[in-house]
Amino acid sequence: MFTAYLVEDDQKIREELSVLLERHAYRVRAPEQFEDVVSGILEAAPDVVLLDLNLPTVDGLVVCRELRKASEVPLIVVTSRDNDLDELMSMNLGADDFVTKPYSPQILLARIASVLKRCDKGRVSHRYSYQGIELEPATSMVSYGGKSVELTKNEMRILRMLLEHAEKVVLREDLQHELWQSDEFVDDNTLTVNVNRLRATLASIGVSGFLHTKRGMGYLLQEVHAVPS
Amino acid sequence: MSFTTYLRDKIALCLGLLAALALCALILHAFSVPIAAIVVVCSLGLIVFVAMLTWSYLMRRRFFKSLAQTLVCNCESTYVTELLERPGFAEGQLVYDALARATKLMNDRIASYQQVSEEYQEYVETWIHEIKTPISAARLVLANNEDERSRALERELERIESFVEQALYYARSATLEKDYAIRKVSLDTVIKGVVRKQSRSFIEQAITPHFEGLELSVYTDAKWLDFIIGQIVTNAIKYHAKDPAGGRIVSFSAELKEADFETQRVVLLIQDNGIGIPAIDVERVFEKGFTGQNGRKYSKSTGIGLYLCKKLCNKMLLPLSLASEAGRGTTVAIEFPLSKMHFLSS
Repeated sequence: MFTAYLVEDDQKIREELSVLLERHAYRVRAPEQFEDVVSGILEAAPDVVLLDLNLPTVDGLVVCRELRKASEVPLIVVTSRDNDLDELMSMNLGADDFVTKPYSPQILLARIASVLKRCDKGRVSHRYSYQGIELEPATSMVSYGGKSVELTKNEMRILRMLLEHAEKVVLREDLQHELWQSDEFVDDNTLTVNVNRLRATLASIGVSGFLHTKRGMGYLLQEVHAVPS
Repeated sequence: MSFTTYLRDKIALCLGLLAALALCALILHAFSVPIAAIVVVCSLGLIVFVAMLTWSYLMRRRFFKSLAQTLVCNCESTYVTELLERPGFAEGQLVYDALARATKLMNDRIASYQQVSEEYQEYVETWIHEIKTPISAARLVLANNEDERSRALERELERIESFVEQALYYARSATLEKDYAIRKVSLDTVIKGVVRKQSRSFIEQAITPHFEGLELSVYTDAKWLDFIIGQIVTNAIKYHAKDPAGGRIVSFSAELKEADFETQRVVLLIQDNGIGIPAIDVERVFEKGFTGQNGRKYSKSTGIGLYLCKKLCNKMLLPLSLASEAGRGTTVAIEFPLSKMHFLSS
């Protein structure tokens, strides 16, 4: 499990981002005082730092520079100041990525994951499981009852989404939206094809009766005997 | 001011003098002064007068000539008195002083309005950066609480963001010089970013994006291009047709035109099969505040989006054009010249 350190002065964003990150299996540390951000980070020794440039007492760029003197921790600058100069300065001072507000939460998660991966920390990624179905997103491998098979990128994303919301209906438009965020601009028909292919792939390792179609809505991942008739 | 104009202006003075000389000659004659002496006196008087007249003409000519010159060659004519010497003759001094007072008043006013508008612009920019924080927070809240309502709100947020961005670029368009940088930009990155940002609206309206030839790179400012394409895509989504053959589509295609080095350019077409724009409105879509029939009939529009697109494109020297056929769809074309000479020569 990775620890993310959140340096963000807006309370609402801090809270909600913490919830979001925790839901995606990060441990979150978020200080509410910004007098001594750098030593706070060093003490917490997180795996990744999210830093807002607009802080009440200290300039984010200064934090950036001070932090780099003492640590090589992956650092993502998140800011609403979207000028080139800030971006350039951040990168020069050693930030690993630069994300401007308002960001889409999915994009932010993807950026964090890719920075972690780049910094060679992403190898032990989060696994998803439900009733014996195990998905390892980093390798796109799904296993069940001792057998495993590799999924295509889209199949992996769909299954991950279904596992995240196991036993709840996942709407078609949400699946589509999720795929679009990774530049897979599938239309309605292609989504159906992808889901059917996923169903076939899962059947090849003995997973059957799990993936249910909810006509006009979306899909449901649930063990068959648990479905109320 | 030519000498004849000057003479015409001084005609009363000249006639008066001639009359005075004639009167003088008559009086002298009455005192039986010899004719020769009268001629000498009158000629001397005339010579002195002509000399005085010429001298005063030359003085005035110098002043008015330099005044005219400064007004012609200097577009900042409100600073005209700063560039002129105060003349040595009375009317000139009056003109000069009046001009100096008027221009000073004018310059003070201009400066104060400039300050007001700069302050306002700064305020708008700060406000826009401030508003991004609550928008981000709202997005996170929605991401953490997914349901039917959150999806609807997410779409509304997409719209709010698009309006906020429009306001930012509108505020900046007054002083566009300061913040753009022409760089090599990948069309693929920018366009897919825009589609991702508006994905909820695309999916809700069941519009499929098509991409073709986007591996090409162009020279432009990435953020500006992102904004421009964002506005065009917003329009394409907003004015979708009900049931077009082959489904609702927005296609992005780029093509390299003309191999000749000087005129080589990438043409980006953004095409939709929406309701299109009536022929009488097509000409005017880039006008500020123009909404046309679609704006009145379908949904309220501000008439600012395309106007800003045009303005930004003009600034970056990118030809932007729009073609449309009512009922068939709309095509927006942006041309990106590749030769660096294009930017140098303009």
